[in-house]
Amino acid sequence: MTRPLRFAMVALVLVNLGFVHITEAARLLWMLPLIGLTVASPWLVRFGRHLAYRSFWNLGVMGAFALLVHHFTSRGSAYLLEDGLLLAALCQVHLLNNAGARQKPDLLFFNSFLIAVVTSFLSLDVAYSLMFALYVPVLVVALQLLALHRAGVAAEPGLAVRVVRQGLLRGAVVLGVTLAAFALMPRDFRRKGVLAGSWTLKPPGGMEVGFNPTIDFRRKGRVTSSDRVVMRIRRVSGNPADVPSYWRGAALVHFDGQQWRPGGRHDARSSELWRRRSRAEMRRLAGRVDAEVEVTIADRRSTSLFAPLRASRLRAPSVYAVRGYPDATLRATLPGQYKSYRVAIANRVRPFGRSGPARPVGRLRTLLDVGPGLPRAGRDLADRLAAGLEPGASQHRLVETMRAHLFQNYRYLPPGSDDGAHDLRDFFGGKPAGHCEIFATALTLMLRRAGVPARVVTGYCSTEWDDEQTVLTVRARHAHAWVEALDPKARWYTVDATPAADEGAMTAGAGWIERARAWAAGLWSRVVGFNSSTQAKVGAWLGALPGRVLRALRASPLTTALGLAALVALLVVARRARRRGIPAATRRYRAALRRFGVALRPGETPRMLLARLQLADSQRTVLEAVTAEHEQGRYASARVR
Amino acid sequence: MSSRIRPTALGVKALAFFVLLTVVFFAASYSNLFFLLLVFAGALAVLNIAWTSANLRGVTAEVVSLEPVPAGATPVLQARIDPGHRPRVALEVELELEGKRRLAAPVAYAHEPADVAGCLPALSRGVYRVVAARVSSVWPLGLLRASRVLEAPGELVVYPEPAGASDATGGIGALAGDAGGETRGQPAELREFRPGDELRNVHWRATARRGVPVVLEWEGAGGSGHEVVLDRRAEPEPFERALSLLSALVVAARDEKEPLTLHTQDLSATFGPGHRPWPELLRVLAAAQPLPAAAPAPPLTSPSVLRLPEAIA
Repeated sequence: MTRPLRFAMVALVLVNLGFVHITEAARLLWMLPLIGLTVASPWLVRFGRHLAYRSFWNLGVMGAFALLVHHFTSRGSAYLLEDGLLLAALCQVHLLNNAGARQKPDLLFFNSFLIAVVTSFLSLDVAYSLMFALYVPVLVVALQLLALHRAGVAAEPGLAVRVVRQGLLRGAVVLGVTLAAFALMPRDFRRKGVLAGSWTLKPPGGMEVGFNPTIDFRRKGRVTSSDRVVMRIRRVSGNPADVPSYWRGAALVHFDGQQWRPGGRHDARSSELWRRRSRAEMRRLAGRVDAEVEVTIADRRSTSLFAPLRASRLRAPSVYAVRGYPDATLRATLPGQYKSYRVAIANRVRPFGRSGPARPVGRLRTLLDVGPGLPRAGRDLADRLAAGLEPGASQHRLVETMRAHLFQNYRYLPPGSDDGAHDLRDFFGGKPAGHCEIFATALTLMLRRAGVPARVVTGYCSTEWDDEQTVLTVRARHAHAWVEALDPKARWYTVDATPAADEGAMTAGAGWIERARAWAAGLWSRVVGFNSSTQAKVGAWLGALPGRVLRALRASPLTTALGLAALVALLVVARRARRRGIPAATRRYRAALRRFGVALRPGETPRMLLARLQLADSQRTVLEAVTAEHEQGRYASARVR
Repeated sequence: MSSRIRPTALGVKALAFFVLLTVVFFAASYSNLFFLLLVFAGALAVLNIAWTSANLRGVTAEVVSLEPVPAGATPVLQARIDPGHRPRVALEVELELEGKRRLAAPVAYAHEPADVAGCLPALSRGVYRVVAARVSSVWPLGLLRASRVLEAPGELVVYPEPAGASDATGGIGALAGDAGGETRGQPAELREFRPGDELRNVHWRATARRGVPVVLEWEGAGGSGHEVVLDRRAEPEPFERALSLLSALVVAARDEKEPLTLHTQDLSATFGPGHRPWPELLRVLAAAQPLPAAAPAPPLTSPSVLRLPEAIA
């Protein structure tokens, strides 16, 4: 195997490992040995002739496979794709380190594509687009070098450079054609797979920061934070300010001291219920729509459909079989695929079909139940804060006082921190720091203690808008828990006591790299969230393009002339670059042949041609000169051909 | 002449892989990224057809020679490739021989007419039909092979491996002497070797018996030329040895530009300068097969003419 091909394969496998890395299927610590073995493969491959070396690799892969089978049997199918991806990555490194006369590298190329496909199911992040943009030229270059290797020709250094250059160009062409076809090819964006009903994966139960439909303080252990994109929210209409940061996934009512659970029909009368209007549409609030957004949930395993508290209308494909719950949350019964739906937001609304007087708080016992969860110190604190208010203070004032107290006097620490509180006893005891679930629990129970109906809500809180404020990106690390309180007029409102809940503020005003990343993320979100309406817009834009171009040309003839001149210059440069591989002497020789209207016959040498031709003396002199020059370049040049 | 495009072995695998992915795509619900990847694979395939065709368009080639080779030697294909008006990568002239043997002469990068050569592992004696001759290219991605048919010799002749002078049967020299036949007159006497004597006149059997080099002197030698009778009614093993020795004799005669007359069951002809060409004789040797004992005898000749394989029995 030639060295350029070997290095191209190393690059291909490194890109594959990059794909695996962005899915966060394995920690970097696990990836490092694979990266090391990949980089060292040109050196390690020499041991391939030893049985012990090959046995080591085969046993290693079998061992890894056994581990993954164990993982599957112990954790179920939740991580099937991630495990498969890891195995594929390991196989890539194995193939790379054993490719040679015995092991053809074909499988390495197919496996690389398979890794790209599987990764597309696990990551919608802009990092995927970067890896894909990297993968395409590397794949093309590697295929070209493999073709040379298969054709039995050695890729000399000069030729290898030429191959790489052509490969990069071809990669760009393929990418362009791919994007054009992707944008224009008609297809059913809402097609339900043949096996989609039976081919589902269960939600994971991992310890990564992410949305959780329940809260359980008994779960302990290391928790990782991830930048993985889980949701994109594209503003279709309205102002960015009208699109809330808080996107609800679950509302939790019952607390037993360690665990929060959703409520049943506890607040059926107080909630703003979702009502089905058609198979694809649900409504719950009346009033003017302030904004409309299109939501794409990238977490394939999620069954929750996230929506803000003031969502008034939801349009989703009927195949999702969306159900609305009394706590105003939504769930789809079609897991195992990305979901895309539209949400209308009405911030200034009244409950749909319900604008009556405030209902007696006494009927909302569940929402006022403190239970055994709030320790004495917490109860004392709630009582003290409530007592400190002037008589007749509004509920909003009470809520704000308690929120502000927690916000200002307690510190935020990420989940899993050793210094943070693990439950409310710690929180109100000696560890005044914790993560959002602790803050939300503390505030909810304190409010209930003070007679304010409240519940904990889990979901996402993100302010990561792109530059144009069109796309709001939601990442796994944006998972959050906060509080919703019910005011005396039966309206729920959001209260957040967690000090560092607004992570987006940390990125505001960031440098150009962050801005570029946000721009790329916005662009990529259009690819990921591509649908029939976007396609129609692209089609309409392309249809109107010739007219726009013509109008622009007519409007500014000078610019048109300059543009045409630039185009001609570009073509000339391209033609010259194309012919650069032919020596000047050969080009002059061919030009002379064209000028005299003669051509070499197959197998004829320039000297034989000279002997054959009957030319005028002047022509013969010229042809002899260029022939001699051509021969000089052909046979006496030091240039490697 | 139009070129033809076919998938390579890698291309067939890639096609199967693409079909499999398409099935999975339709089995799962629609996903934009999966679709993007499928479109990418499709675009790669379509562009590959265009690129592979373009790399061959305008290329001319010819098979310069495909010489007969002795068994055990490497057949060599010599060809000339003219890349036309722009540089080309990974072109090759290939001959497909019967028995799925492939003889290819590749060139990595051609920007002007280039002479190329390719060889094949050694073959056993026989006449190998050239099934097809093409100029082809798998550039750039190796998934497809574009090819165009060329004119080429119809067969590759692999004649018997010539026996060396130290052959256990007495050697080529003795055979050459014996095969002198009537054209050299009658054998006169045996005498000891003297400097200046031709090697072909060494009588190896007598040399072996006496232990010193002995040459056979001829009386009334009447000009150059060899005459051999090949009786094909023989067992395979002596028959092959006879062919091997005859092959050596042919090579010697060709080098010395002397004619050689061969008599066998279905042929009686003289080859060499002014007669039938040597390659024809080499083809006869390459294609010769032993006959059963009941087959007709070869044509009658003078008793002094070398008879194979009788002479080496």
